[in-house]
Amino acid sequence: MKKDILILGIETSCDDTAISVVQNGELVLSNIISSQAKFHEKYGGFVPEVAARKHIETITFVLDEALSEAKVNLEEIDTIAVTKLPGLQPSLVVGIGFAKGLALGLGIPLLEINHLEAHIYANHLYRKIEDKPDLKYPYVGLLVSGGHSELWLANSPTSHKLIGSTRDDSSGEAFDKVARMLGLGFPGGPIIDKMSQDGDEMAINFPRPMIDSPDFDFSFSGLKTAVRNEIIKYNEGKSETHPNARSDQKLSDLKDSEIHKEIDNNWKLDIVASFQEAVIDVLVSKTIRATQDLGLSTIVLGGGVSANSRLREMMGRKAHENGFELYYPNIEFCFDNGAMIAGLGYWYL
Amino acid sequence: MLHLAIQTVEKPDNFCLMDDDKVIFQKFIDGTDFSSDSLFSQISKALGENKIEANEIEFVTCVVGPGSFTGIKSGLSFAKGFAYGLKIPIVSISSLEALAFSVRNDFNGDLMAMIDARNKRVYAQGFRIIDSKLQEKSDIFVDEIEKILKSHKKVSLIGSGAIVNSEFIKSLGDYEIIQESIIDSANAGILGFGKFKRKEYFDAHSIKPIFISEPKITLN
Repeated sequence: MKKDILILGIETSCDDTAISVVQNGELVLSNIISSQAKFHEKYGGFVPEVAARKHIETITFVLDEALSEAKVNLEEIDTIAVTKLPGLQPSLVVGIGFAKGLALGLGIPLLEINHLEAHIYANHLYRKIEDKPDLKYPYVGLLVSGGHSELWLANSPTSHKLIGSTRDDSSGEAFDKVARMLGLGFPGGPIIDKMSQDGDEMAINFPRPMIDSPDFDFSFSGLKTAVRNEIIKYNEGKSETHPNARSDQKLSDLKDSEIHKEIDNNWKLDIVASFQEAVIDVLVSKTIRATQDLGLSTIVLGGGVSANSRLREMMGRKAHENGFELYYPNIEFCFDNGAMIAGLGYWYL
Repeated sequence: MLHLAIQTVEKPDNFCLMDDDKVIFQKFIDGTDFSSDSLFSQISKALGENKIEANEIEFVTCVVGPGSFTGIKSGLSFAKGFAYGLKIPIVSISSLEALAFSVRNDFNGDLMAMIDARNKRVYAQGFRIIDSKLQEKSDIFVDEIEKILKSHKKVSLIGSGAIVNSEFIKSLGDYEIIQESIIDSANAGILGFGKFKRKEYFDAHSIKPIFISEPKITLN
């Protein structure tokens, strides 16, 4: 009988310290994610050097937990896989350095894995054999997160081709920045997703940037500016003196984090729902068209924004209309995690 | 007793394989890549060439700062992973202590070790060396060179902070600048061996970096 391969996956590309143990590339035995969101909340975004220092502090404790949840000893691990790129350099340095030291100490191989390909691969992960997805290559992968908005063609675990990407902000970044403008907190994605359920997505007709461009690229910077302009217009109509503006200062001179005062809650719900709808319209439209153009019939989602309930709903609806199959990862594998790194690592052995 | 000492806080990164207080092998690494890239391959190679198994290493000495933020994180992360895997302790050595220790046999008197922190600021610590014995005279701090030297008139200076700013320092007074700025893992290893014998060590969970400066708040 073939021996089971246990891979330890280490992921520190951004602000989560994440370590997992995965068996044979798919069965997740543990998935520990230490989130730093509360440390970065006060800044309205994450601070790379703060994130990196937190990784150093927590990484061994996260490893303890990952081994404990998986019920395996360190000596049973066959290989270590670590996120190599892309990511924030200060944070990557910690995971890579730790993984290299650990691999050398244990005398086992080390694999360096592409974070983006791993997010797409996350669709193959499962906790119980009965949940194993019947997902087959090739497929189109939409990767949407705080750092990325990309379309990929995946032919096999080790063959991914980038077919489109954002030319400026990622979709997740746009969610965070709009949340900052409205004083909603950080990270913006889950907050806007929840609020939008009570708002009118048709209330404001925001632009759908690049929705008709022949390529598969995205652009969300202009949409973010459109939201800012709408907030300024709302405040100008409502009150002559904004509480954060000096008498000689125009509202348009205020920073994103200063423009949100005195906004009616119902209007807030409408503006976030309308903004979210514009983002999702573009993501869904381009993904469906890419799948049609490539003559494929399967779509997968990956990355933190793939947890967005409206994206899942709208992509599901359009995929069904086109006769495509749609897969998205279990919520625990949407955000940055070590399981996707360990899982993909298996195919590079 | 075999042990490993690593220094990545300032270029050139370097490491030592040691037996008690004797250097078996030392390597200085050039290049600008992430330190851990080179460390991993070079230490792995050095262990093989010296016929030492990783599990024969009984502790790691790590220079934990102050200095380059990236260098500190890189070296300490590597040391933590290595020590975790082998279940061995880590000895913490400051870059300033290693610098001052390097001239213990050639210098008598008061010494200010300085590592460049840019914009005429330095990470610094005062030491006194008498008959090759090193004593700490202050805690580690970061400040402007001018302010430091105003309150330390009769002191010799050592380290990158003094060498990089030597012209400026000359304008402030007649200070002796010792022309030695490399932080040597061999010195760290000797200090580390002493601390290990005194049981002054940490496990992979509890070892901490010495950053001194707060991170610059730039949102990603």
